[in-house]
Amino acid sequence: MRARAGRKRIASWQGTLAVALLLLGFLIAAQVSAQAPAAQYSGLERPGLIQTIQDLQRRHDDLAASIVATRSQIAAVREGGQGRQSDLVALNQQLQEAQLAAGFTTIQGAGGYVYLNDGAPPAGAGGNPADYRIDAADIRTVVNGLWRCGAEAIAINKERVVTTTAVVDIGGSILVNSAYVTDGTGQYVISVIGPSNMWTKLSALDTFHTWLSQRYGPFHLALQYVADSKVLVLGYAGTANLHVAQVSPAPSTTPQPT
Amino acid sequence: MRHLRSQLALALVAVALGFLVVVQLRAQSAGSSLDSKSIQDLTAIIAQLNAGNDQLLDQKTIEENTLRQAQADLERGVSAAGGAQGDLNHILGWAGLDAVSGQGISLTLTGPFPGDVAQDAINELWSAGADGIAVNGIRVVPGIVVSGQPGSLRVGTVAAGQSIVILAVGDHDALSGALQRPGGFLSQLGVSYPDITTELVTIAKLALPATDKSLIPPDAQPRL
Repeated sequence: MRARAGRKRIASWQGTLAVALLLLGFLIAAQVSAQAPAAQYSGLERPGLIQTIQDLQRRHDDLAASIVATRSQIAAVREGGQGRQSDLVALNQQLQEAQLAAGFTTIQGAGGYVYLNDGAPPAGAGGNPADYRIDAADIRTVVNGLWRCGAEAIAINKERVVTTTAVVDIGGSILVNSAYVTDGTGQYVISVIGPSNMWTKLSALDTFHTWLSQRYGPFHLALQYVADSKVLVLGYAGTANLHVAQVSPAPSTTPQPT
Repeated sequence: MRHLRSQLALALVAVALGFLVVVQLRAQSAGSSLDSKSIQDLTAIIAQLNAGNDQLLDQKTIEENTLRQAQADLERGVSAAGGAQGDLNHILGWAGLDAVSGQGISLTLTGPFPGDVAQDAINELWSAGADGIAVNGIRVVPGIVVSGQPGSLRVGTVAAGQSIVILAVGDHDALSGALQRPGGFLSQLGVSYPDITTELVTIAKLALPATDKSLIPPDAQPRL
């Protein structure tokens, strides 16, 4: 009887050890396969390149802040002068409305935040790990859906979406208005001002359903919407140059809200 | 003695297991950072950021010149109306609130494709530096989206059937080059939607209408 109990105990710890060793082997294999590409890309130039990207992004932020500050100064100077030049009052009013319409002005209103996160490939999953990352097309799908559902203003990680905004994939990262918005956490925050039923309407769009079934579900992407009564959407601080176009002013001025 | 050895072995395996789980979790969470990118990817990001910063620097110079001019006008008691009017026209044209004209391209897409395809083309054209875009005669501004299923497309709220004509004002070589580059919009379209017919034409002068949509947020308030 005692001999049988002893055999049972030995079988039990041997079973546990076998399961643990199996898991160990699996994790070692996963680790080795994850290390392989990193080793392939490692090199002396890597830290320098990463530092350059961080410096360029800081430069981008500084330039954008400087442009916004200069625009505020221009508005202040013109407002200061309009006391003596009454003809400027109406023009400055039109200019401020145009800047508001173009997205140069920071605005606040009811809306929400859409949080999009990279998915984590299940351990041992095959396929391309890049498929589990949020890409520019994912963001464009959500942004275009929000516009269709009545959004008034949108920003992607603080980059305002304006008429000329492009959201593109460059080297596995996402750029919006030529600014690098991939911060390494794999999270993207879309700030949106718009009607309270915006998210409900978005959830009913066919394009959104397609995205859910083709991207969100299969690649374990994370999506969350948090409503907020005071969403701040920053003004656009990028370039507003016309390279070849000539403007043909309309007889009327800025359209008024309907 | 034998029992102690087995417990020690199990403990060692458990420690190794815990260590590997933590390492694996850390590797997963850092997967999207710059550290995980190839040298080629990092170089591409640098090139794009450099180009973007050059444009921002140009914009900063323009704004500073405008500020100097406005300050000089104020000091001399000269009307700054000319400068303000110029800025106003420029912003209205850039934002789509005024009509614009110039060289550009026309891209016609006909066949069974969803609205997202047209949106991808528009995104590619903005990325290539288009000054303005119109789809089926409707100026593209925030809120105007090409949507719908194949055969029942819509531009904003206007039905468009299965044919879309995209007009873009901008450097026509840059715009057509961006659409035709290997791996770009047209080559991907040919693979994903072989039944679509496409026509890309460069045009010496084309005109885009102003939008009839108000872009002033109806409910949000400006904040300084």
